Amino acid sequence: MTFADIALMTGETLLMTLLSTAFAYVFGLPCGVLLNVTAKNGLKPCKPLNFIVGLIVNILRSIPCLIIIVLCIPWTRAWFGRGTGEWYAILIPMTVCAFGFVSRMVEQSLAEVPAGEIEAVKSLGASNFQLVTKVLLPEAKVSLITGVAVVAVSVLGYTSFAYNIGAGGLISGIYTFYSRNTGDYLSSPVFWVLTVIVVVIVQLIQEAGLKIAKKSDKRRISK
Amino acid sequence: MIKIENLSKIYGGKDNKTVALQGINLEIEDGDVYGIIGLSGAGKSTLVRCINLLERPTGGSIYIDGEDLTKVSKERLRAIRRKVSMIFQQFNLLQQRTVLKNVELAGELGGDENRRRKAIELLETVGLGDKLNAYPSQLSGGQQQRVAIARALMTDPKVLLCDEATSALDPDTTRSILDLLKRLNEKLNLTVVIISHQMSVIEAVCNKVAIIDNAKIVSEGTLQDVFLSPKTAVAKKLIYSGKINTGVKGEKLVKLMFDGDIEEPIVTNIIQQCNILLTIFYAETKRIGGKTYGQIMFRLPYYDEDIGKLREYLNKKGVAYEEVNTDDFC
Repeated sequence: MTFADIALMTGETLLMTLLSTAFAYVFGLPCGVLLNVTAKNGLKPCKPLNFIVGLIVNILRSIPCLIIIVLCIPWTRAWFGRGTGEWYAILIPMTVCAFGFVSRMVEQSLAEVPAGEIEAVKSLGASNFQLVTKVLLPEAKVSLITGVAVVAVSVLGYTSFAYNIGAGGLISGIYTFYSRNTGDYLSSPVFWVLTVIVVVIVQLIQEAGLKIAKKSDKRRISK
Repeated sequence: MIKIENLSKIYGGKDNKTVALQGINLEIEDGDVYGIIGLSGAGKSTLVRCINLLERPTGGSIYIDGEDLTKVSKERLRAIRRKVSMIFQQFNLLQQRTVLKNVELAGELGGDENRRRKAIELLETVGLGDKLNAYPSQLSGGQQQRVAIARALMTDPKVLLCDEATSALDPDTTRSILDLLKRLNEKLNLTVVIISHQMSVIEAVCNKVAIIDNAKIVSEGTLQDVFLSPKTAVAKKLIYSGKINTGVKGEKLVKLMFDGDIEEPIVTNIIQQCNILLTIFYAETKRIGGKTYGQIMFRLPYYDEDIGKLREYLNKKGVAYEEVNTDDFC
């Protein structure tokens, strides 16, 4: 295994993780807002809609990721020309997997916004749309950013399944290395180098998330 | 003018109904500083939140300048809310916005182009011109409430609703916030509705007061009427609580009421001219609208011998009095 191989695998893992997380937020953020807004104490309670969206999210979250990956192969093939064998083959299933998770994370973050703040802005004549864009999302910013880091780390974990559809990346690289060197993989530096890179990426995502969140937190600044 | 007609609010379903408001009728004139006082759970917060429909009443009507809020469209309601602003016990500023941005928000909602200049002016009016770029978490409670007041004034309201706005503040800060409200009332002819559980808050600024108890208005009138002769048990509790020794049972007292017109030292005269012994049980004077109002309650050690003489003297002098019993205040 050469340095170029390792760099390629790292690149694949980063692309899979970051793009899937980004796409999951493209759909999950509005969905989380919808769940929060239509909830019983939300801005516009709507029990049927909340129930149906909640149910879809729950179903998606309860199907194991590997099964979603298999289910998405025809979809990926239709869009990308091939269903397996390239790093981007995992984007659709990863997005689907993370979408439900993201929705719930966003819903939870928005629920932390104090009801009094919403009410105060409502009393100034705000519309529901203004309440979402000017109060709910900005006031939940810190929690939302921490959430992104949590989601990204989980998605990185899901990229293990890239092995199953030959989509590459670091984790499937580690597993491939193991399966070719089952006898002495533990004594091989390559195995450990790859593992350390994964750990470092997780640490970086987590730390970056916390740092940005902390920086944007204006709720507790010393006087 | 705010006119509330037969307002009711009932929470919960069939089995566990909670009546928060029942048969409420109130009229608040333009320029009033109107106090609504009640003990915890009496329904006062629900009442004030019905005035801008943050809480939708179960029955009855709320008219603001003749327009029934319960019947207007959503868009119209939002426009009316801009004329009926509100401040809160917990200030409710947006924590992620600076002071200036918090005040500007009200202008942002209505697309006001001049919002920055106006926000700065208002913050200067409330005495926070030097805190524009601070965040709410960097301010004291009193400063935060000032920001909230500036925010509430951004929409040029006619009415300011204050929901326990000073309950989280210390007495000095409370005083300064009340002074500010009074100043705004006079300068802008702003109608102010103050909800509180503290008589001292109401006394400091209100010209009219309503007492709410157990979902109903139990008395209503000018501040001096309600203060000088509280009729209901709740009114007495609110006015005398903590000031009267409630441990004394079954004792007869005489209560004198001064309505601002009596200049002579009446207690001294009772002692000297009628030769009556008395011990003072409770005394309080207040300045309301530039006049001094007061009440004194005292005990007569030789009640049976002296009461006749006292009645005669007070009637002759035209001093309002009432014979009361310590049990009335327990």
